Amino acid sequence: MRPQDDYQGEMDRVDPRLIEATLQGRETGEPALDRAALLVADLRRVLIEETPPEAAGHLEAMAVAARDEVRGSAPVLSNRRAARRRRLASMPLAAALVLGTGLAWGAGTLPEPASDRAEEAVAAAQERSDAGTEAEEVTEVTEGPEGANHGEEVSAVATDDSLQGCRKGMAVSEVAGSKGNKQGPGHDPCLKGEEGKARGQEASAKGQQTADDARAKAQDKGGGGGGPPEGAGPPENPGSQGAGKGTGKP
Amino acid sequence: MLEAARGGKPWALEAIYRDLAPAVLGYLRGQRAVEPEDLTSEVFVGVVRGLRGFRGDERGFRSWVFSIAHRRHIDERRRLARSREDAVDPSALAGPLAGSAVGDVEDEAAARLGEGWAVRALDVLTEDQRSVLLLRVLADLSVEEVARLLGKRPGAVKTLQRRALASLARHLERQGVS
Repeated sequence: MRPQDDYQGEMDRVDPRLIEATLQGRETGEPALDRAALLVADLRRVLIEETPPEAAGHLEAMAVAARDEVRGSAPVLSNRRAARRRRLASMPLAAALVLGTGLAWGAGTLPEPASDRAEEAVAAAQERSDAGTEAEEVTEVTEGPEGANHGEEVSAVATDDSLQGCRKGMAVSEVAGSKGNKQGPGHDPCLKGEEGKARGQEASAKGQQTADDARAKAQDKGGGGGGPPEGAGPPENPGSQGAGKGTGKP
Repeated sequence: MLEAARGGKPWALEAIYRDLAPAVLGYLRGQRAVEPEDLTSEVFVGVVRGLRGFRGDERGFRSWVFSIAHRRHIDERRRLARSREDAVDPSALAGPLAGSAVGDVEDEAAARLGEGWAVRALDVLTEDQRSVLLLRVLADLSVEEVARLLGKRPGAVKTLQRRALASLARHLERQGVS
């Protein structure tokens, strides 16, 4: 039997704990193992040193790698920031939609189709905003593919009999126009017409009162009781009286 | 500390490096790597890049770091083998220095080590025996951890380490070491 086989056979019979002790560099009392333990201890001493002098360079390389790792995740962060910025940028637009069409719709001044349209526009704006799309894209929502039904919606409002007169005109204008109240949420042109009408009625009542007073004064003086009072009736046209005279040729 | 290192905290990365770099460098030197310092740097750059994907405790982390070191060593060997094949100049084969290129690389590594008899004694081991012995002695990994790292069964690792010790003991006896 060759020496190599002797060693292998001997090692195969060695207690595993002695093998472990040898690998720790400890003596076991077995000559062959002790030689190996000596070598293991020397390997540790020679090969495992203190932190190598290249540590500074290695640490720098690690720091660069760490920065790259952080930078690798940076686009996610910047995307989030950009999305947040876009959300913030689109919020005024959504707010404008809410204030413009939304107030009218919220106040119940728009008929149902118009209200639905305003609601859809605001919801779409908010949805785009949450998805982090550009503010310009939110603008497109109001003029984009959904605009294909725009004419139908205007027609629906125009043929809706639930509103009449100025209110109906306003509703049609809201839907047909920029879908926003360009004159501000507090402005209501219909209110202006009603005020004018009230002022006219008041002026008419005043005029009637003045005519009655003039008539009473004339009766008190006793003269020309049949003539129309001043300011009450239509003024006489002097030209009409002399029309026959004036138009005849000499 | 691992959590801090995952977050890129410099103090944690430095602590990991100072804890493991000597053993990693020793392992690569014991494997006769041609550029053990460069490989060590590559290993720790790989560690930083792979930290986010690592799951496990500090013991598992140690094993993982040495698995990276082992792979880097294998890669270097393959790269050197390819470069040797590519670098052979037909005119050099007839020259007096023909065939010396392979020996130069290992001699250079041995000279750089400046080691004594213990490191040279590793040359009597097979590649697997050397890997098992170095991972057990320098990396301080258990039989099971070495088995997982090398893709072998624990029984095979035990056999390899016994044979490695037997070979070394015989070599030392021949060398007159007592």
